[in-house]
Amino acid sequence: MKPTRVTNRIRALRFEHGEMTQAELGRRIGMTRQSVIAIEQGRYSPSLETAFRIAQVFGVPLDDVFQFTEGEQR
Amino acid sequence: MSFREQNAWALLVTTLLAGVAYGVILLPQLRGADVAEVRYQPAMLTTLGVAVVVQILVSIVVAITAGRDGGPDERDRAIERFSGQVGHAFVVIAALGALALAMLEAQWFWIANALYLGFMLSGVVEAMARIAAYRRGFDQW
Repeated sequence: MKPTRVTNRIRALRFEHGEMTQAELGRRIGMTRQSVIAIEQGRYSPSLETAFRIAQVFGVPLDDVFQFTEGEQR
Repeated sequence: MSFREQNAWALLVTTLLAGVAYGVILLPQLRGADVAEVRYQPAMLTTLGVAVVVQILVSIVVAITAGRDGGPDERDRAIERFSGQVGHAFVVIAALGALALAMLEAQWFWIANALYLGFMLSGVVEAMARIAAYRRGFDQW
């Protein structure tokens, strides 16, 4: 399975927010630490609802967290 | 490795072991024998039963220890749905094969074993799809 073309700044945002741990972010958005790791590494594209929750945790707009990489359409 | 991935490995290993055990028990009986005379039922029921019991026990252990990583969350559910669909396809293929064998009036031995093979392949492919989704990534979009 190809990795997602949706990239994100979650790692950087966690560090900008007091070095928030993956477990803490997971707890606040209702996901496991493993799933947060998968999202951070681009191995899983979260649902729109979860994407909004992540942006809400960091207090930033959605496109500050997730970016869509233009490229060949699958 | 998450507990759910461990669960998928357990499904893969128990399904493979059950299939191998069934083959080891059955193959010596098949040499030069009429398949109508082969008593495959005890081996089939035993290996299926043991595999199901072991998988239930492993699932209980995983459920008890899952508190350590929480969940299932949306990713776990999406992966479970995806791998279930992949595995389900093999049950349908086996059912169609068994239907064709029944229409051709094949021995019950072949019909039962076509279905058994379908169950085994379904379990193996479902577990492999789940492990691949956890390890390599899963893009639902």
